[in-house]
Amino acid sequence: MLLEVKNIYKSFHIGTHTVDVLKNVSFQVERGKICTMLGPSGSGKSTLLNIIGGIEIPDKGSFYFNEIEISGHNEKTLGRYRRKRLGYVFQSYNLIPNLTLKENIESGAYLSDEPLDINDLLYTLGLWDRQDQLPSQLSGGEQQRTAIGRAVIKNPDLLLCDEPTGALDYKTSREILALLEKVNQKYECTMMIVTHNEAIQRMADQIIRLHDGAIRSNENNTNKQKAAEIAW
Amino acid sequence: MLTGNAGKMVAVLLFLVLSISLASGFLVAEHSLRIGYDNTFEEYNIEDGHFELLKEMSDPLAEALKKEKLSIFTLFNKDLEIKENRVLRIYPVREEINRIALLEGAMPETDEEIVLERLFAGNNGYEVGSNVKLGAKAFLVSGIVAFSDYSSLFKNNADGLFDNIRFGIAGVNQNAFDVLEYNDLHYTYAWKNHDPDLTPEEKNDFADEILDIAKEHDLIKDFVRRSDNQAICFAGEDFGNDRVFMMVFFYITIVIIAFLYVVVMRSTIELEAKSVGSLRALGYTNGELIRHYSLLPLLVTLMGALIGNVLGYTLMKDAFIYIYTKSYSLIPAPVLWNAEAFVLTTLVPVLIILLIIYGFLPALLSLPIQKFLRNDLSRRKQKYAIHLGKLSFFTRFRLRIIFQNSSAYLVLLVGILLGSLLMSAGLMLPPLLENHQQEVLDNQICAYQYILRMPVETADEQAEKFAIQSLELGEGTVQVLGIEDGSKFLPVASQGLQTGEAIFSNGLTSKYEIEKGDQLELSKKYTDDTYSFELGDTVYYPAGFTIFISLDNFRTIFDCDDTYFTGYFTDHKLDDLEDIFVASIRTEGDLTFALDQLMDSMGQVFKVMAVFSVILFFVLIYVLSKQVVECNQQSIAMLKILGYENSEINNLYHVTTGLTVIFSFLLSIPACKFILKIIFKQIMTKYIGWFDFYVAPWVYPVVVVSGLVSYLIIYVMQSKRTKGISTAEFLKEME
Repeated sequence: MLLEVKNIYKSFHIGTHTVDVLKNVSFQVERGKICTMLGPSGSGKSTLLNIIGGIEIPDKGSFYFNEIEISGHNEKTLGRYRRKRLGYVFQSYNLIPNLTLKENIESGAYLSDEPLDINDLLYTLGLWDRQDQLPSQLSGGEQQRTAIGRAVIKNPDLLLCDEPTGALDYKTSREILALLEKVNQKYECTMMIVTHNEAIQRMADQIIRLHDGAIRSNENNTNKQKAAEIAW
Repeated sequence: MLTGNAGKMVAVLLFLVLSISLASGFLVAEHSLRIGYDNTFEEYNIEDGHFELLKEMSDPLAEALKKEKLSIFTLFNKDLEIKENRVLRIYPVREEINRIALLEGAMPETDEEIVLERLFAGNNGYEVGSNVKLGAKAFLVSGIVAFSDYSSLFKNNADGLFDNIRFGIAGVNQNAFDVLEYNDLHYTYAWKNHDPDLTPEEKNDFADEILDIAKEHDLIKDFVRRSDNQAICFAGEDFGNDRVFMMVFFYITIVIIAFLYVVVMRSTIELEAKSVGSLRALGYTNGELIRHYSLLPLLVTLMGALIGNVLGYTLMKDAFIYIYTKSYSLIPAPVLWNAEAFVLTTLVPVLIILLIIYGFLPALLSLPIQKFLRNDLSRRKQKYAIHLGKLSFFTRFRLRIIFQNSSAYLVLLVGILLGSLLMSAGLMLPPLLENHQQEVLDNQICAYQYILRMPVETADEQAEKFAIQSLELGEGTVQVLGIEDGSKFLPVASQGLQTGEAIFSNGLTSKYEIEKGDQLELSKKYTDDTYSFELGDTVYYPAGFTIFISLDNFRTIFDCDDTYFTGYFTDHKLDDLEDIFVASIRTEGDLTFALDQLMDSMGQVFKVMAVFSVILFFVLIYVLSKQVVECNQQSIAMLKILGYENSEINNLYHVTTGLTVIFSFLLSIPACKFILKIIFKQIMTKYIGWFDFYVAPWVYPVVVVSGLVSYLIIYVMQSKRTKGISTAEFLKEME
């Protein structure tokens, strides 16, 4: 088991109100699998992803990575956990605007003792010809592929993707999903994909549905499809 | 806009307040003192000139002068050494000409009372109620005063610098004056033209007439027109001297501040680009957005101008007046509203800032709406990344940060150059003077230079005869020194003289750019005699402008007999010379005293310059490094999410600023050296003497270290800020 989440609670204080975002959330994810987390806006899926990513601290509960408890550690340890174990992909790419495409990917490689071969990765991502461009010169799809490259190059155990196709058109979204699938297969990287796109669940091994901060369902996908076959 | 820029704006405000208050205080002080000084001429009935005779004025001269349109006033005075190296010039209290301003206490009412000039009294620990012993008689200090004809305490008009420590002026009543023992009695007469409206040329011509009449009847020891009288005019000429320098630096500072605003506004607009795009899409006009973004800089500028002026008219004005009154014996003047200072330190800077802001903002805000919505405010259509080859990742990252923030770093470079220039100037002058002083001492001719009233022989065999004559060169004085062949005190000069040519001191050739073979024409004061000397060689002699010739040559040129000489060089006191034959003895202290005095009077200005530069470094580095962090807040948060440690992030962003600071200093120091050399030469061409350009070896390192210490303090502040950037907040904003 790569990841085990146990009885996580998280609430936010907005003015005088307290909003319970996560309520007693527990699940497990196996190594090498693709896990999608579905749910409407405000269901708590991004917060859960951030807790797994060591960015948010849960109020209660714990989670284990490779059977080592991660929750409850200080910022420095969480930083090392992100540095060595995780890759992060966001809806809005979050590339460093003054670095070239290749340098953005190198910013991920720098963190790893054994990074993947950058040239090979650039070919895999289909970005070889664009490597010297700045993010502002790239299309949305190219930027997202760069963000995936940055996350993947350090060969992480777990790739966290927060709405990776949320800002992309249909065609580009499908290309990105195919790329994620390719990365999962080629580099045996476990993935957690947060999305509100129901279609994406079809390429996953595990589907978790969140509603109002609680897990509504957590099931294995027995009818997994290739990314290229998914349409919506 | 304020919330994100409060820290930077407060820093800019403080700097603006400091700059405006300094400039305004300087101009107000200078203006008030100048008006006060100009008014004293009429209010205190200052002379149009004076002359000193060898003895009391003869009746024929008195009769001849009566026929002229002038009034003659007796201004006899006596020089008394009141203790070692402290000379007081005593006048009977005068009520008609060159009147005295009472600053404290009362004018002398009895024969045992005395009033002392303020600076001499202060520098020598005298106050109202103190006792001063003049010869055998003790006097009670009844008052502290300013003499209207001694705003600068020049003992002799030919002196290179005033001396308010060892030389003072005092007033006693006539009875006390008459019975006073004295070292020197000066038969001085002042004149005042009947026509106050004479032009300077007419006054000069009239003075020439007076000189001719006086020469015709009596023997003149000294003749000084008011316009040539350093004791009266030096302070007035000095008031405006620093003005150009001060205002140039002030306006450069203002331009730097304006560009700081531009850098801050640009990054604010970049951060808010999407909002700007949305507002414009909603129908907001460029004018409304320009007003919005210029409001804060405008308010800060106006607030800076207001507070700066208030401080300028109060604290800073007092500080500058203190600096002036530490050097000059000025009659107190009221603070005057100065419209010019207001225009120069308030309206002009505000206009400069507005021009730069309103030149920049419309250009940026007129970009197409799509550019704002896409968060791409570049003017060029396609922005290509510069190829950086195979440099390490961190090096490339740092270079990209520099390219991204090039405008901020350019402002930093210019600011550091200006600050370095100011600080170097402030720091270099004291060691320059000390160095000059040391050079003067190292190259002094001998321990004692005896100047005799008449040629008398000494039995001391090591003493060497010389002759000296002061000649005029423009406004300066050159000493022509006749030395013995094979002089043991001046071996280098005496060797060079074997060719029969003249040897010039290095300061003279440097200042007047004289080359070998050039002729230098000098004139004798109060005569029409001129003398021409050809430069044979130059000798290093920093004590003053001197031309060395052989003693025989001297006697020929100045038409003296074969045994003529004016003094002795000696390394020990000549005990067999009676005091009555000795006019003066020039020792080590005399050579260096003028420099001590200069150092004392200008020390405060040097400190102000150095402190101002450190503040300039601090504000610039603070605002711009904060700017770089804020510009890259999202990238920093993203790097944290990726797992970069704070030290690595500091290494990327803050160390880059640090490297830029170091690079700016590396560029600034040679530039500073070059500029200072030019400025220094300009100053020296106007200065009465000459100092060799010298920057102590520690000056530039201190400048760099001050900048780096400022940077390190800011590094710690900014590192804390970087540490505080929240990844969770960043992700929420992204959502």
